[in-house]
Amino acid sequence: MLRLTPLTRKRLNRFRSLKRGYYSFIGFVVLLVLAIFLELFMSNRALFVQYNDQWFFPTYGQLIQGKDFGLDYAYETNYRDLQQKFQKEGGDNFVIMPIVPYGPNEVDLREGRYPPYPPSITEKHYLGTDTSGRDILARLAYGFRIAIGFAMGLMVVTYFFGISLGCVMGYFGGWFDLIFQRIIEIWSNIPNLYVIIIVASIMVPNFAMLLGIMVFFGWTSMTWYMRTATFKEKAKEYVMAAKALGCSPARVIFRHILPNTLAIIVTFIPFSISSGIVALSSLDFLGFGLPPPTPSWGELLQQGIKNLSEAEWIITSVVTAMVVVLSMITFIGEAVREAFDPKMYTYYE
Amino acid sequence: MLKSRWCLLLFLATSLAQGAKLPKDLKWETNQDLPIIASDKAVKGGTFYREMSTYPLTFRYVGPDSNTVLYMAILANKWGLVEFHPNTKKPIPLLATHWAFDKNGRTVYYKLDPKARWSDGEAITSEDFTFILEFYRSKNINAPWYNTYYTEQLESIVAYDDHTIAVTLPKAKPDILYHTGVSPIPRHFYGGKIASDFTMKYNWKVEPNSGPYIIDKKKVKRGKSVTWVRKKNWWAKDRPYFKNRFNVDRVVYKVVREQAVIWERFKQHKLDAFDMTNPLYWHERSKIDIFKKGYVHKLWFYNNRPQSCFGIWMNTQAPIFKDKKFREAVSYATNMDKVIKSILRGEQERMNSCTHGYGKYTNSAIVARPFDLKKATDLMIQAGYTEIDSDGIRKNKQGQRAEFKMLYAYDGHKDKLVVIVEEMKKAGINMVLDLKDWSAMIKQKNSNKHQSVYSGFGAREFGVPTFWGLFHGDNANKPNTNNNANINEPQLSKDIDDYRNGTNEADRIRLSHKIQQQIHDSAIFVPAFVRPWFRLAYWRWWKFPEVPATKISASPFSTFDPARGGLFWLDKAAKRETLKAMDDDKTFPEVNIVNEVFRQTPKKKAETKPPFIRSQM
Repeated sequence: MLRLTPLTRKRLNRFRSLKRGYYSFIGFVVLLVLAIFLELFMSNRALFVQYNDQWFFPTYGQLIQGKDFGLDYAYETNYRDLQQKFQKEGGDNFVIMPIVPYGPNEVDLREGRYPPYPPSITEKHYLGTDTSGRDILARLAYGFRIAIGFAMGLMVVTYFFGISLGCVMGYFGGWFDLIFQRIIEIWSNIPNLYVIIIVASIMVPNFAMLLGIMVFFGWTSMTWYMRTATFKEKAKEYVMAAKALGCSPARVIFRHILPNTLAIIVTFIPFSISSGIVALSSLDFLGFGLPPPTPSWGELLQQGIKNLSEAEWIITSVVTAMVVVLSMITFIGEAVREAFDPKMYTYYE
Repeated sequence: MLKSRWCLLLFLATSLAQGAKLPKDLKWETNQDLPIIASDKAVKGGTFYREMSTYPLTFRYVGPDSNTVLYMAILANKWGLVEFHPNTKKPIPLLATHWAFDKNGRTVYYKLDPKARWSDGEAITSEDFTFILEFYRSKNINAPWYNTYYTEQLESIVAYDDHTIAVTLPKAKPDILYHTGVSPIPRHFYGGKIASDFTMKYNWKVEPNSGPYIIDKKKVKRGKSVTWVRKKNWWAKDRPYFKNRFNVDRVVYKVVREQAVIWERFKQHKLDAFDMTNPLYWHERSKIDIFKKGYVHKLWFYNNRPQSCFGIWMNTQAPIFKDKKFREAVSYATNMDKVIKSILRGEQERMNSCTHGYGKYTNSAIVARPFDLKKATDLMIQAGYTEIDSDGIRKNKQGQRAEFKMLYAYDGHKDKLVVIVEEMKKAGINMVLDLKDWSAMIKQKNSNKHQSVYSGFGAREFGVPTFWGLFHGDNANKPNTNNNANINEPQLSKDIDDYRNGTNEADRIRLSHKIQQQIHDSAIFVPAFVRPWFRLAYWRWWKFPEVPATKISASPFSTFDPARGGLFWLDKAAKRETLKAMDDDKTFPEVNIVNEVFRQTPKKKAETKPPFIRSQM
């Protein structure tokens, strides 16, 4: 199935030899996998409960009411309290909690003390809480999952439109190309941040809507590169051969030209992802992003700045997380670019 | 000379045309029983620096963009006929010295103070009052609300001579002095007519006023600051109630946009006072030298003023809220107490009804529904939400989830709202927060497209509560009204009508209580919190009377308000002493003043000490 051309193999080997980028890539993949199974590490739901010889796995699936565990309430069980209760009773019942036993939206308030609470190992708030008493580590992690999901979604959709149109423009050229060039020039001059601010003031954008707006204004940048690349490829002999064999334009573009321009697309991916993350965070920071209580880095950053002198753990956590993740992605991007560079022996600074 | 003759002629013509003759049997009243709120220790002089969040878009007080940061300051210096004493609610004569009531219950006659002068030296006469209706009814001022109000709420203003006028309402009303106490407009300044380019022409003109201060046009720095100067020979300065008040020579409003920047400027004594409502500043950020060394004092003042109805308003026209059982369930599932105890640090109190702080008119028997999951769950089941979805939210047999959107307009509410949302989930109700820009929120609410809204509406500093706008059926299901819940109950509407038209106080109090009970029973409003205090920090050279503010004050640094402003003064010796001490690193005792003269705390809470005292120990 997977037939790697010698060229691709060469590029992969080269990528592997660029240590900084390669390890960043591994780190990033690990983060992604962790993010996918985040509920197993950070959640207010227990991983496993044994109660009266019955086994429960509350992490995924239906909510389990407190009264199912013999508690006096019908809302979602507080597993941390349940764990303590079982420990006190000393029977066979027990609860296994995730490493961070808090959900991203869960408000954990203490008697006589006011949030934000500083980091504490005994309370298992490893990075402290925010101003509403929500665990920062959990919010960071869930915020990462949302941001990366957003960035990837944004990339896929913008690339789909940008690449298709760019290729078509480059392939056909002429009037079609000219007209679309002008349209795109006008389009890309609409200030999308203002549009988002205006839309956000009328309604709170949800995930899909925000993605839609960003795609609406963000698809243009990719068209230029693809147009040029297609232009270049079009003149090559294999395209002529395909045409001579009677391939339809769609087949020529997507089966013959596109695979040969892959190098360009691949080198842009990491940078698109990092800019997607930054875009979402800045919108959240300005208050035009996803509605509360969605966990988000931008919102944490905002809180951190407002509480700079009293709750330095907020700003430290979120800035560190941002720096680490964004640097990783940039390192990957640099390495990819270098590995896919046709001129092997030049350096990009 | 010629001009004044013309005016006289015009005046004679109008009064003749209306056949105005003063009724003979009028009983002229006044009120000199005004408890003094100022201190005789006060001295004049100095400059008070305060912040404004943005530069005003105009100095006009009507027309487009006129609701500026200086709007209240401009109005406070634009005196009317009477005001009301902040502590006793009795009338204070301002431009009027005497008044008399007509038997028809809708006309009040006023005698003007012949000494009253505009800031440009011209006398204030009845002409300036007859100009009011002309001015506010003119289309040229570009202010539809004023056009309507002065057409529908005031019938006529008639002049009898230079210093006697009558103001008539279209129908009899209680609190008639309040409704007829209009504020004159200088006819001579506008040349007796309202130009068609009024809004442009008067954008940056300073209209002559009658209050203690006026904007100094020479010191206006566009985009940066506006300076008000004290009138040295102000016409009302010898009246007992205004003696020792309005002491500083200049009040400078500087544009400072960010709270963090205001705080920094305050610490450098570039601003004289700092609002410390935010617990973060009061408890945490004030643990710095200027406080510990006594250069800056803290004041916590308990007032007792009517509060706006702040809380969750449920729109009975939204399908989910048609069922009263569900509305009650939401009320019982709203954990305001947890918010008060945690986020608000126990410093605010639960609001019990929509009529807080109106004295006898408040039905104190009404207590807000407490957080009670059992009751909430029972009510949910009665409302048909018998099943539970996988995320714990209840749903009914048709699969509709107990889920609704709540509009709000201020990002600062978020900390409190997320607590409420999480608590409400315990009852199987999902409240989805919907933050919007203020005007977008009002727009959606006014077109009745909202499910619920978290905001405050309708506070009046004087007089008695009003119910018509918020609860009368006339305003239900119509755009641009404040009947946020779109409640339309015939009995309630009838009682409100009787209340509005009633003139007997005992009847009105009884009706007011009854109306409040009906509102409570209909469960359309979940009351939030009341903050019956203000607190701030100020540099120690500012001095106040023994009671630093009044019952309804929101700050002792209210500068211009005729009823309660301008009580503070600058102690120059103390300023020199303090600045020197700061250079020499000398200290003064730390000062935290708590004033509870007007505090009104529910009896059951009286045993617990205020948190401030606790933190001091």
